[in-house]
This record gives sequence, structure tokens and C-alpha cells, in this order.
Amino acid sequence: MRILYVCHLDPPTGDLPLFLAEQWEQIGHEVELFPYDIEFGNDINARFWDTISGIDLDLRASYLERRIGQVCRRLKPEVLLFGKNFLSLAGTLRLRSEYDLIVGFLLGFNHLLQGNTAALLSQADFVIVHDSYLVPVIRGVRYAKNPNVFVLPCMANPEEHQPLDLSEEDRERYGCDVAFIGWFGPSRVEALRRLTDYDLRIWGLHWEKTPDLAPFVSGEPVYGLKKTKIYNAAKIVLNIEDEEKQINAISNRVPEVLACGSFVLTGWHKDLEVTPLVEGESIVCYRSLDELKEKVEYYLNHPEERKAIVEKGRAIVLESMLYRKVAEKLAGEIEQVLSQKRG
Amino acid sequence: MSRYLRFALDRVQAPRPKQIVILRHQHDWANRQLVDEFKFQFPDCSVRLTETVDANHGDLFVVPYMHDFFNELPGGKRMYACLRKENDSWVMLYGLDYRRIIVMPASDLVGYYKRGKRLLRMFRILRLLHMVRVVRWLRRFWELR
Repeated sequence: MRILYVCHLDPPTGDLPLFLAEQWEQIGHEVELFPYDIEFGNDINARFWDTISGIDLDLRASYLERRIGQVCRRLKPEVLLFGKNFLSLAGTLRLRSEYDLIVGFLLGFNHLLQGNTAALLSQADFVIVHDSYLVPVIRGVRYAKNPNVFVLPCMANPEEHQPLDLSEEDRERYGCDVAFIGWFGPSRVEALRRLTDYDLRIWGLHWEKTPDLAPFVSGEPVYGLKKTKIYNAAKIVLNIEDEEKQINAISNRVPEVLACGSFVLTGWHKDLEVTPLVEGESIVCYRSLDELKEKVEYYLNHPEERKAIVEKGRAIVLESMLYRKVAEKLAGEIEQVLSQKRG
Repeated sequence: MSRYLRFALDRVQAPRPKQIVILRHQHDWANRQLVDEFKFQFPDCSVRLTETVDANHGDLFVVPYMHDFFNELPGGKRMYACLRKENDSWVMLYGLDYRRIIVMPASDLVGYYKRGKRLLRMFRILRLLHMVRVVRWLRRFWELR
């Protein structure tokens, strides 16, 4: 398959599109990424026109449609995959008919009501969701639902997420008892406020809204190697999901931290049940803020138990929670949609 | 690790660098982060920090900035003009806040800078003349015709 993947590649989104594309290429597909942030946000001409246009989404979408159309003419993709609602519905349908391709939509978090997302999901040839909660919501053949809904589980890339030999300086710089990486969010604030008695480090944006947590916040941006170093240096890495972004899903952070050989303490979410991780053996979860504090206290005082859980968790991640496995399965599902279309 | 760096170079068909020189940023954490990342991603490559562009600026010259390249002007105009003469070197503008990376041949940097400044100036003039709405309307008419 020839796939054109229009995506965000900025740090808050992570490098998921890069890793997925890399794996698809390794199994013989031709993939080209169209990173919105590089092609549009960073491009000086596009930025100029965007400033002139104000917040005119129609104009922005129309400009992007033209740019994506240029790539389609050259690449002749069979699959056009969108990582967000970048285009108008009419523009998306125009590209589909003009270049005779199938259109997919990858919903990285639950922004169903944002802009024209719902209409795009309804009209897409297939939808990939990160949260299993959305499968029965979107999948169907009536009421403008979509019959082809596939799940993208959480996964890690062992080349990117791996144990590192940290220097003393790294340990001093990134080390702490409890680390959290992520943006400000109400549920996260509540949880982190319970942990201010510990050596807590918060890495992420928009935390200036909570002055009481300011002493724990590092304003440095986190991505790439620095993220892996933080995972490696912390005794406990927290995974606190943003409740407005997902319901059942757990973030890629869980397998990423385990792949680094580090200990992750995560809020319990239903999608954990469909992973091979076993609670208490290879992953530790909390269901209430009291339990969170108890478990932080317990596992900080029991490093050998942390180690045992990490070893089991890491083995499971490296065995079955990798991009390679997921990419293969997804490619098969997309190929089926493509062959149905070709009849 | 930091697979993104390789992607950013491959996208513009820049060759794999052998010598990377990073313009020192005012924040120590930024210098450290950049040196670490490049050393990890390109282990066979020499990576060093510099205060200003000198005779040996490697085959990839990294210019870090925080939010807005055109306002921050890291290194200064004279440095961009200096790099114009370099035919075999590449420049990476590295926006630290959102990892905004633009890679281009070193000889294009001064042109990129001038084009950006020109567009910003044009926008200011349009705004002073209250012409932004007119241009927006014309563009809308052309784009959505």
C-alpha cells in the first residue's frame, strides 16, 4: 500500500506517526508523512497567510487541501490517513474522489465534538481509535456510523524507549522519587497535590495555573532523549490520564516506561484488561487518590518489589506491546477495506 | 533515540552529518539537551558547542531558539551572512519549545531570514493601512472560489 499520513509531529502528540510509519515501511508499505506542524506551522509563507487570515479555518483547510493535493498527485497514495480534522468534509471527499483513494481517520484522543470531527468519522472509509470506549459509539451501519473501526492499543518502541546508563549528572538533573510528564489538567492537579510530601518533579506545560505546585514544576520542554532519561532516572513514573481526553484508554506512557526498565504507577482504566499486563504482577494501578498515595509510599519503600514488577512488565512489553505488532495488524485491516473498495 | 532528528534531515535529503556544531543557547539545559540528543542519535559524529560561527562550523550547524526565530535572531544577521558562502554545510533551526525544526542548506539561511522579515514587515504595513481585511477577503475569494 502507498499511504499518505497527514499528522501532527510536535512533542505533545509524541512520535507515534513516525514509529507507525517506520514499521509499515519495514513490512513493505510505502509511507509518506505530511507533518502539519512542519509543512504548515513552521513554514514561513504559510504562517504569514495564516496571520493574515486570522482564525479563518475554511481558508486554512483550503490551503492545506491544495498542499495535500500536490503530494497526492506525486505520490498517488491508495490510503490517505488523517491524524486530526485538518480539512473540511467537502475537501476530504474531493481528495478521495479525485485521487481514487480511501480515507482513514486516526482519533488519538476523544475530540468527537471538536469542529467537523464527527462528520469526518462518519464519512471516512475507516477509523482508528485509541480508546476502546469509542468502538461501539462509532461502529455501525446505520445512523451515519462507520462499519470499519479499528483499535490502536498502547505500545512502545524499544529503540526509543530503552534502559540507559545515566551519568551522575543525569541522575542529579532528572532523578526524583516521583515524576510526572504531561500537561496541566484538573484530574492531574488533584492527584499531584496529594504527593507534594515526596520528591516530586512535574514536567510539562501550562502548570503556571497552579501556583501551589510551582516548586515541583520544571518549565523545560520534554521530548526525545530527555523523556527517556526522565523515565530512567525516576523511581516511580506516574501515568495520570486526562479524563477529558480518554475514558477506557491508557496512554503509551505505560509501555514506554516499562520498556525503559522503569516503574510506572497508573490510574486503572478498562483497556488495561485487554493488555497482557497483569495488575500487581507486571503493572501497578490505583483507583482512588488515597490508593495512589498509599502505593507511592509502599513502592518507594520496597525497591525490590518495584524491580520484580518492572522485569515482568518489560518482558511483556517487549514480547507483545510493540509498534511492529500493531502496525502489522492495522495494515491488514486497512488492506481489507482497500480490497473491499476495489471490489 | 530522538528518531525525529533523522526524520527532519531525511525529509530535506540532507546528508548524515559528520561534524555537528551547536550555537550555544542562553539556557544551560538547552545546550545539554541538544548535545545529548545529537551525540545519541549520531554516535560516530563529533558534536560541540560554539559561541559564534567560526572557521570550523561542521557540516551541520544547529541554531537553537526558544519561541520565535525572527524575533530572537540567534547568532545575529552577520552570522547568517557568513554562512551564505558555505556550499556543503546545512543549518538546522531548532525551536526548543515545540521542537520546531527546519533544516536547509547553510547558503539559504540568509535568504530565509530576509524572506521572513519581509513578510513580517509586509504584515505590519498592511495592518497600519487597515488593509488586512481586504487582503483576507481577496485571499478568501481566490482560495474558496
